[in-house]
Amino acid sequence: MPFLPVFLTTDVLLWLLVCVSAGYGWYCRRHAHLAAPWVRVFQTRTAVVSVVILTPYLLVGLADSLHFRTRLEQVGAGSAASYSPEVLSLLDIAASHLRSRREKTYSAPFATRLYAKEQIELADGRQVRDFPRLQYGGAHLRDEEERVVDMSRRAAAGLAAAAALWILLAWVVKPLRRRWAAVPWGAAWWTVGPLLVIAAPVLLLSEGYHVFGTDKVGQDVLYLSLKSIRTSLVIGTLTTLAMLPFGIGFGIVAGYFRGWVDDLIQYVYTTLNSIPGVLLIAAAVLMMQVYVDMRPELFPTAAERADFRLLMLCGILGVTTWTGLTRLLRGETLKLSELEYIQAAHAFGVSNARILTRHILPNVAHIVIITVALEFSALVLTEAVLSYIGVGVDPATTSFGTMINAARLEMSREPIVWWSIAAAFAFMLVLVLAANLFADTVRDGFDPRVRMVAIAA
Amino acid sequence: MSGPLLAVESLQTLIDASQGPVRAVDGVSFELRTGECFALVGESGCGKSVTALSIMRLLPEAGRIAAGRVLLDGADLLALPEAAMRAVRGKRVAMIFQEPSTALNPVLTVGRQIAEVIERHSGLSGDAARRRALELLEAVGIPDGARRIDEYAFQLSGGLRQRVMIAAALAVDPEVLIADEPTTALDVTIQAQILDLLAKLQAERGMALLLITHDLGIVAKMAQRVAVMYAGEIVEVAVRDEFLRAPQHPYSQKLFESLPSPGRRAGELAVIRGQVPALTGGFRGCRFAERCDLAFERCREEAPRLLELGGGRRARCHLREAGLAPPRQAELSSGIERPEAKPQRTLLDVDGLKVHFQIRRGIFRRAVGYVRAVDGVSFALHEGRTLALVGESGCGKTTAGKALLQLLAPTAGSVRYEGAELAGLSRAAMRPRRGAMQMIFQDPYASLNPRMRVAEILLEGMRALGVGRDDAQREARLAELLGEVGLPGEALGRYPHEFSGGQRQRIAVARALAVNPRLIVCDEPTSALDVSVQAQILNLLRSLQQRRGIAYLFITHNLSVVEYLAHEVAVMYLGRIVERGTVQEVLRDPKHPYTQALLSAVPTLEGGREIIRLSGELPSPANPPAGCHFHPRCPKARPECRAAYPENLPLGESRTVACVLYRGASGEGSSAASSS
Repeated sequence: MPFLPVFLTTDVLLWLLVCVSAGYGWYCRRHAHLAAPWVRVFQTRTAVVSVVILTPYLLVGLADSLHFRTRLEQVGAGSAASYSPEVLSLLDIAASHLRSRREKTYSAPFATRLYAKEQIELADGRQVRDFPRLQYGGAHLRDEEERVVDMSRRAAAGLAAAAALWILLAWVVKPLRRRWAAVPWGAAWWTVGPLLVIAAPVLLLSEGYHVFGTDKVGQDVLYLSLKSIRTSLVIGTLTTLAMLPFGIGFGIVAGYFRGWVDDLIQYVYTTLNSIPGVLLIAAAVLMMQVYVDMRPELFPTAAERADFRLLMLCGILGVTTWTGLTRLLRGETLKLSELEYIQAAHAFGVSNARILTRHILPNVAHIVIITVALEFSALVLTEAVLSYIGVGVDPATTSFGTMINAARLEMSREPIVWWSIAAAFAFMLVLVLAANLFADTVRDGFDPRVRMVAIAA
Repeated sequence: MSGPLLAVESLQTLIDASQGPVRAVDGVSFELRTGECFALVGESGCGKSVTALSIMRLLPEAGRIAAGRVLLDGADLLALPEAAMRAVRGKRVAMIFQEPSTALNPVLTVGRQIAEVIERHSGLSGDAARRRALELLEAVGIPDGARRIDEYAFQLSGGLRQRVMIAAALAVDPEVLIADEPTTALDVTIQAQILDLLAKLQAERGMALLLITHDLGIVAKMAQRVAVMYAGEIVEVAVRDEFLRAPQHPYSQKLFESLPSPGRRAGELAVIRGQVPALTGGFRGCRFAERCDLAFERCREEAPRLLELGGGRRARCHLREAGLAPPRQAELSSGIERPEAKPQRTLLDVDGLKVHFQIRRGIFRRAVGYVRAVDGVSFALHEGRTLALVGESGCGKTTAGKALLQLLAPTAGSVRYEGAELAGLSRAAMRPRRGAMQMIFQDPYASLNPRMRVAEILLEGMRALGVGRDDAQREARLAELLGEVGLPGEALGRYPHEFSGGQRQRIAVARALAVNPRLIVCDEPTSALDVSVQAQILNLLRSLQQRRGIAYLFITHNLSVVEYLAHEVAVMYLGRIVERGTVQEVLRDPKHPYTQALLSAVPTLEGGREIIRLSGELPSPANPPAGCHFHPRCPKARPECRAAYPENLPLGESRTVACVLYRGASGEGSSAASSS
């Protein structure tokens, strides 16, 4: 085998989540009442636009969640196959030109020279202190004067490719358009256009230049930004997974049984809410870090260690943020359990467990879905903050938080190094904004109180 | 009489929905004259409220007026800019809404809300506005106005809130008052008070009243002219007496026939089959044709015009065009009394049932008092018979019903089913007995789990109680059950939201029947339904009783339903039964002053009955009056009423009454003291 697959826990969970979502989608299609709110969601322009924007993030994140170790060149004929200790992902292979081209240190976007002066030995043996040429960025240019022409050529090729793809896409989508006529395909198409116009030239330019510059150790910032996407997705989704059992379980049990059970659960979450969240998370993360450091034998590769930290961070965030959902569900369950169909079930002697699972849970599901959608963006931002203060992900894991943290000191430099933080900011802003907009439409679609009546103009 | 004060001309209002625009009001025209009360009658969804909102231009965001004019004194309200319309609202045309509990702002005092209207539309402000508000409160009969003016909505009862709403509506003497179901949310005795008030104020001030209602009894009491709406159109307009005597449109006729009344005890109630059509599509023929027994070819081909029949009468029916006399069905004679079966075996015996709820206060949640929702209720239910438990909201009738089924734990007393005590049984011990006793709930929209299919809903009870050997056997019964309640077999695979209110109530009945109960507690099963649908459900319940010999405990506030369905009646007031007896005894010759007042307050088609007005409101069951609970409101109260709660006095073999008036007469039969 040319490679050895590595199953990181977060990868497995993430793909499991994808399968579960697909299964849920399939189940919804067969149940009209479950599908109805989603149909409402996907009939709004906002939802379609945000989904179109979220899709590339998702694809990048998933591509970055297939990990393996490549096989090393055989040394002896008879020896067993040995694999590189470096764990790579599909994204790393696809973007290998970005990953491998490391400069010495900072360089500005599209630069051909480093951002710091160095002693350079000239061909005639003299030494000058100047900005040296980059090893990779613009290295193909014989004369730096050609840079603008070369860039324009690449950008123009990118734009042409984008236009071609855009038109091709309209043709591919046609049968879908007929199948689901109510979906605002026009909005989707007009969102894909600008996306392609940005992405295709950037892709072509990245072949020869560092589009977003390089960071302190010379890594391509575009590559770092792409790698950060997976971390955000993992935090945003797996944390809710860790949160849901507590949130749902405590919420409906408190609301249904009332009495001392309710009192107990209320006291627990009121107390938990009174502890500053960051403090609690910091304490838990530091304890977990000590544990990881004491047991190096558990983690054969650095990637696995970093992955464990990421997973634990999700868990820690999960057990500290369930209170909001619990509070919502408790209230809703209190209301539901007074309803007549619950009374009717009591009159039939239906068991409590069955009432909870068959009558209450399906009727609070919309709240769970709304919460999950809203929490996602909040968690992405939380990760950035936690990594910034140093209690977030492993330093080896790339995330928007660690990028910002690394760029922070450079903000006070003269001349300023702005591209690292700007790239992280732009990527994160678009992700969170799209997620927020999508969550809003989900809330409107699922909330029975919001009447989504289209007013004919 | 001069020209019309308010004229609505071919008004068309559309409400945008996901399936396209709903033609909620489709070409409605009528006139309102000064000093007149004009009633707009119809079932829910016929467009009567949307008509009112269109006149006020207060439609929800999704609604828009597509065509028509609303002329107030000749000026078109629909053409006014919004700013000018604001000066009309409240000042010239005012409106009161159905639900007094949500129509008042909870964070403003009553006085403030009335003064707001006064300040907006007249020059008065500050103390002058407050004095005016105080006058208004007195005008609408709120006792102790000086204190009430600084209170908030939550401190007032439903009846008082509706009075405040009326005071605010009348603040600057509007010319037109639109009352949208002003008494639907209120109890009958309070309803009588409010209707009296409206009639009195209208007469005093000479304003025009547009009364929107579904209750033909209210029409008979209040209106001078009547318009009947169906599916967005007016189908009949007439002067009240003409309308009551001989309704012209088949729909109006059916509405009258579906009203339960003593005359119809023997037969089945007339039923309008099907339901109101969806208003999204266009109509080719008559909108009522699908449900009309008299429909012929032309009704399906051609939409009828609103024909002038002379004397201000109009009807939208092809039958009238040919001059055919309306074949109004003869009243079923009341001569054929239902054969009264001999008292059957006692199924359930309730003795001294009490349900008290603790009021807890403070951090340690100590009980500081009790709400005595049910306070010593005794009755017996017999096989195949119906006992109606009647009372106003808050009297504890629903609580009593739930305590019977042990859905609420009784505080004291005994409930014996075929001699076996149920009170105090554990959940597990109760389970084997659950099958025998079931319940049908008031709101068919809340009583079915929206996430379960009909088949699952029906199976749930059977599985839980082990009815049938296995699932295959249970499923075999499902279609049969649906047939029994008059639903098609394909309903099994569908979800509750796909059914109308009446069909949902049928599903609820089938769910109860699934476990073969011998007793069903029906908690106001028709109060959320329209009259025509109510008739369907009542017919169903009665035929089930005749076939299966089920006993019903029928909890209701609607006395006409009682007359149709029940064998015996128990009247509850503030947690206790004040009078008990057979239907004939109690409804024909009520003894307790409360029963008398309750019966007299029900608006009837015949009218002309003296209404016994009760002062004040139902007291709180947390703090009932000393002595007889009813004495503060009782027109016949005596000093001894204050001393102690009167004992139950037997009058005849089947009847008891808890009132001191009958102390001497007890045991001598019904020829007792002062009955009106």
